[in-house]
Amino acid sequence: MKKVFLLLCVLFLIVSCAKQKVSTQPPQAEKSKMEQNLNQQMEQNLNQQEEKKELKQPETLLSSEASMQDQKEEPKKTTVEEVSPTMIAKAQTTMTDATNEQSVLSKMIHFDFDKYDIKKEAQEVLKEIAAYLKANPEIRIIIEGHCDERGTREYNLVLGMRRAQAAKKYLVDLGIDEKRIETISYGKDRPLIDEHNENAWAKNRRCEFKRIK
Amino acid sequence: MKKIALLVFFFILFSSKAISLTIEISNPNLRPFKIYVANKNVKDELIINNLVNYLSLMPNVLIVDDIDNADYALNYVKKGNIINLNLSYLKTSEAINFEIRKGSHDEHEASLKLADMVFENISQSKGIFSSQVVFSMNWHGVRQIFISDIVGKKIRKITDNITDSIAPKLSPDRNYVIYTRYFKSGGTSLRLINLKNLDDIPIYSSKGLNVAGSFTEDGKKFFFISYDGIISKLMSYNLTNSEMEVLYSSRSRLATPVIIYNKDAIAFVSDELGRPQVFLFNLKNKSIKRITYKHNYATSPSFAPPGTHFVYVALVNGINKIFASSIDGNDFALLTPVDKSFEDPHWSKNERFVFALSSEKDNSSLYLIDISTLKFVKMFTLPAKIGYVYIN
Repeated sequence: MKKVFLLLCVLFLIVSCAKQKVSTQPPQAEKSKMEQNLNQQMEQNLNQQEEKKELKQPETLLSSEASMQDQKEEPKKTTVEEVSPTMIAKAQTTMTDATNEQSVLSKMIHFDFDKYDIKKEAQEVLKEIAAYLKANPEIRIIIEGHCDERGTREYNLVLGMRRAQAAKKYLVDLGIDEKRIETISYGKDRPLIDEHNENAWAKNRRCEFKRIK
Repeated sequence: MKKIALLVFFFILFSSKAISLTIEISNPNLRPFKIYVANKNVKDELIINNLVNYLSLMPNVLIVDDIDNADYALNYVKKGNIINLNLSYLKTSEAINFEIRKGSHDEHEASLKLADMVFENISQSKGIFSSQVVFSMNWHGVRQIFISDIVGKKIRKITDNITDSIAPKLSPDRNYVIYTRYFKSGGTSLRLINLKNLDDIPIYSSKGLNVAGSFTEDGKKFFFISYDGIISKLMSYNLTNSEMEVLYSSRSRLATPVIIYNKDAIAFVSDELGRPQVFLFNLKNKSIKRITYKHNYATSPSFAPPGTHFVYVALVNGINKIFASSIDGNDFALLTPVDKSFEDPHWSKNERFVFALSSEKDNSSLYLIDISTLKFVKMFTLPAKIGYVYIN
């Protein structure tokens, strides 16, 4: 009986794996290899059933994760306001938060185009910030990742996130509790300098550090 | 001459007055469509003036001054509060008649509907004037979500959040908008606005980014990316039972999920191979296939309705350029000028056009590109940098 059961299990596994097809007609051999790697990784990811189960309970997830946030996420009625081009023109105030921060947190770190690795100059700034956070254990910060105007908005959102995450990792490696650091990305939505040149781009590819109040 | 008589009644919301149209549809099919408009300079008929202006926006419609050079003649007669509009096909004298009862508060909306009707009847393809545009824009220092019609009129702000709201996507029935709202201390929430009753409800929130892609054609599901800075997940959300599913997860960056119109695949952007490229995720067999190879930075795909061709943004020498390509990569063309950046491309539902946004320092313009002639038409300009434009 046990043998039959084992045999059934093996057969089931074979059939399950066979369902994960790999794209069969890529234009080049190299592409095929890359796609196969992607598909293999995807198969592994799809097998993470625990993750799936967790995500099939949105209400639980919402309530537990919302508790981490500063704002309660609740249903509400939105308001609709008809606006004119004149009102739009008047509403174009600066998108960059004026920071009153007098501490080392007012410093920024900068990145190369489409990169998120921490450069040497940035390492020095992050060491100063780590020292400040160690001296002020009550302070929590949020790291904002920003990008220059090149590329698309939605892709720059994820690039900015990578930058913020890289800065966070560096601080955590320097001994700061990761629970004290949040990260977010504004992509290219909040440029420091709204110009179209290399100088502006270099300044806009940055991480800012803000105290969470 | 084959004629079908059709009676259409418009009951405009917020107005006790209505417009009724009586249309006789003929079936001429000719391109390009040259229309002679009698009395086109008459200023007192806003509906007619708007109609002519909107029709002239279509790259494949030409308003001509000489009736001998025209394929169609558009004429109207006003009797009391009734406007009788006549569109005749000059070669055969086939005619389309529109009867408009004036008095509606919303003459602008009536003009758009008429423009679609005229365009659909002369070109035998779906009009674009009933489309709506959603976008995000700075509003006194905070990004909010806005919706407008396709000619940039009737702009309405539909969020009033204290933190940025971005990346809106409109459902196929134009009744729902899904968007991303930031938390002050990190994290984002996907929220759904019901444009009918103005409910704004949270759908999913987590640390990091949650950005919605497109809805399925039946509007019952949408796709989104959830990215905590380490792991990216391509997920679906079922609006009927609130069930979520992780379709694909990866340590690379994912962005912009869009479903393609044959319903079998989702396109998404990933830098899994080093630089951002467009991939197809097959919903049936769960396989993944890369579909952009010609540029090392390819993002923001949008598919033509049959799903055989798509447009995407490639970053070339610091400029965002829009290319059209078949899925197999054989048909391939640059759609935009070499020296001007464009983004947010959207293939129109009638397959003929691609919409694209171009932003300058203080303004943004939405363009319509005729896919066969590459003729550009500016649909509207707003005095702000708008972004995350989505059209349905």
